[in-house]
Amino acid sequence: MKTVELTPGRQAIVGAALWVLPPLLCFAIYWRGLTAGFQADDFAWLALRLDVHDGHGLVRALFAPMAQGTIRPWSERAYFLIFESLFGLNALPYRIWVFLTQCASLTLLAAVTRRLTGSPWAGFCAAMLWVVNSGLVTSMCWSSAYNQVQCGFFLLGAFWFLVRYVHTGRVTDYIWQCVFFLLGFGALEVNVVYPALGAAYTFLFARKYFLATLPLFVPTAAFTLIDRMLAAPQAFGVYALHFDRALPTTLVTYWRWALVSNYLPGKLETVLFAALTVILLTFVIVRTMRRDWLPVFCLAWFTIVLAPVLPLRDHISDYYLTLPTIGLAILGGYGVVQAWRKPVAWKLTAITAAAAYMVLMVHFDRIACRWWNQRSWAVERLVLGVERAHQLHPDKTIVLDGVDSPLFWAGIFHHPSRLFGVNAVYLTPGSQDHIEAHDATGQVSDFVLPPDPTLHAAKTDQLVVYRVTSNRLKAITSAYEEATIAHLNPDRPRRVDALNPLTSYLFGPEWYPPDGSGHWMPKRATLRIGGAKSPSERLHVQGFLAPQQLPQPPVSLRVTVDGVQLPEASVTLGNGFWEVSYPLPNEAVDKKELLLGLEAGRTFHVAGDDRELGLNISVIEIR
Amino acid sequence: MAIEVTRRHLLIASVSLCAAACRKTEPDLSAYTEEEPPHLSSLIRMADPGESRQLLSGWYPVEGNAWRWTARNFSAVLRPPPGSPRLGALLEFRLSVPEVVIRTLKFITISGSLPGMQLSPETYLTPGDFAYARDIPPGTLSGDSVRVDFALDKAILPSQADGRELGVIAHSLSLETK
Repeated sequence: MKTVELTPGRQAIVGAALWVLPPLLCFAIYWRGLTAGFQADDFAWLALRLDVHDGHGLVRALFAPMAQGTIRPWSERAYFLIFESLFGLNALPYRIWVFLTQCASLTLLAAVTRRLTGSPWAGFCAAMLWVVNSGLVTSMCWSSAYNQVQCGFFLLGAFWFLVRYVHTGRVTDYIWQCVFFLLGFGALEVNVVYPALGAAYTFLFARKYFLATLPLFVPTAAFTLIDRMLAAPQAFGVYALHFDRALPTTLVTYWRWALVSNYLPGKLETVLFAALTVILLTFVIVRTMRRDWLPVFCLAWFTIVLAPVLPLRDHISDYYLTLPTIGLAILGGYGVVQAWRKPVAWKLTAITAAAAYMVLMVHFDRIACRWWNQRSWAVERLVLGVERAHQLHPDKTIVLDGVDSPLFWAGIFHHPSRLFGVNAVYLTPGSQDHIEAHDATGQVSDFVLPPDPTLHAAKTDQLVVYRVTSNRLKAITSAYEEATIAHLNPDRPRRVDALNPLTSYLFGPEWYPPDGSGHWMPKRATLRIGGAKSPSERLHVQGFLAPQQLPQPPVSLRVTVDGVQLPEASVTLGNGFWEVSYPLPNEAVDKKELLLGLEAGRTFHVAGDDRELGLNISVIEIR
Repeated sequence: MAIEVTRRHLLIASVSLCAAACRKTEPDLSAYTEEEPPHLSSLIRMADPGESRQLLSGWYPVEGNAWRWTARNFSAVLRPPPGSPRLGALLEFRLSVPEVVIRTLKFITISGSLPGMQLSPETYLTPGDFAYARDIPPGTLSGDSVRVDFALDKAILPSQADGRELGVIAHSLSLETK
């Protein structure tokens, strides 16, 4: 790309700038991500430490499969555990680490592209084109998406050593490639695609090394096998895999988002998308016809790295583009440099296309970053407000009024207050009407206090109510209690959360007091609950399994409703919990209150605890 | 003694300093909530130091982090719970009558009163845990506070072993809207 001869000193400055500018641009665009606080899944990872009491707990926290069977020990478990032990709940160090990792990845990308193209400017352009892509916004603003950033580092690191190995033939480079590749499995499952990248690269550019890439498929196969065994197959929901006609549509959607982001609406999007597609595909075709395989390899990178998420038809997310767009960035960088060697029209076309892409991407990056940043601070204000409320009212249940959808799904839903020792925070009755439902993620109603327990708590002075305002929580307990007593329906709840201290008045005197992790009954116990609304409704009882109960056959639970014995039902055992449901007699319909009698089939004792333990109940519900 | 400072030492020191600097220690959270003006509680748990200001007279210090002895006469002030002026309330005093009281006094009778209203007495003949609960009719309670007085018909007199006049053991006192 050099057009004028530079003095050695200026060459050194330009050379340094080519390395430094992409990381600087990263900070310039995503600085709001650097100062973002915790939100959403972050709180689940931060809560990991609560279960680490010994070496066994640490191993479980690092390696036990979690949501969708994922095991990401470095990018999620170790990342949060180490940073929390060092910095507590100060988000800044976590964010700095993400940025440092991404800067390393940008440098690796520039280095890889230089090797592939022989041009420092191509490396520079590739890094610049990648860093602005809006697919990176989530990864750069949300600590829970660090898995993408870290996996990118391992992928690029492994690929860098492969390229070096091809150039030098040194075994140490091959070994380092393997080290980076194997470490990548601890970051993100997408790492399984690396052998395909390596095989494609060697097949196209260094065929004599092709066979050397085949052993890499062994760890990929083993990991895929283990991952499939651990991940519960999902026939429904957003994480269900669909190998159908939607695959090409999903691919095109990602292609469009990769070129013009998913934020840009209207005609401009269509025009720019079409123009960029034509320019890129023309470049690929022209170069391929000249037996230059690099553009094809870049498209292969995009497709191969995207392949694992293409079957997620119902979960198309822009941050899944973090790693596939590396391929398009190399393609773009290479294209700009190639065009620069051509007549002015080519130069203008390349510069205009790259500039249009970058200007629009940066514009939407900044909008999206602001959104992530502001949401995180709203969550932080809420969480710290709850902590303050708990400081002031340690014996009362905290109830929040006016929680909206973003605040609920990014904050409340993930139980952030557990980190401060507050186990129960509830929403005022009716809150579910103002919060968007995401049934595949969870039920808002699980967090909403039913009217009757609210009424009872208001009468007995057991709760403090806060309204969520833009800058703090405002106590409204007195006014809320007065309004509650005047207006709330006193019907018994049809769902009883056994761990909610405000429902204790529904439990008979036989029950042991709830202890935060369970609500144990002895052999027999009673409970009051609201009646069924229709004959088709059933009584559902859920509970937790104690370790002492695991090796034994399931405990039976006999239930009476107002003295009438319900038919026997089999207990379904899950991972640490059990569930059983019963048909209800017609007499249970439309009754304001039912008296349930529960009888555990057998009881047991725990050393050091003289209680006769029957079952640990979590939820009893008629639905 | 010369100490060789290696890069490793510097790295460890930097990380430690960084960790110490970044870890928040007991932040002041007062700006994160806007509280209501302080008011009395409708429920007094005897062990709760925040509610002890509502115990006016006749109560001894907390024992076992859970309960207090009362004297023969004792008083407290409670907040009428929301809706209680209109709907009425339930006054509940959770107490224990210890073995020593029955052994010494044979039985003990407690009676309560609110301004302008005498509550019916109750007699305990055996040791154990009890709840002295009385209905407060609608229209009785008003304002932000109500004084509740209790009287026992007798108490264990001060002795050399314990210089206090001992009545019953108190656990909690509450007003609850009906």
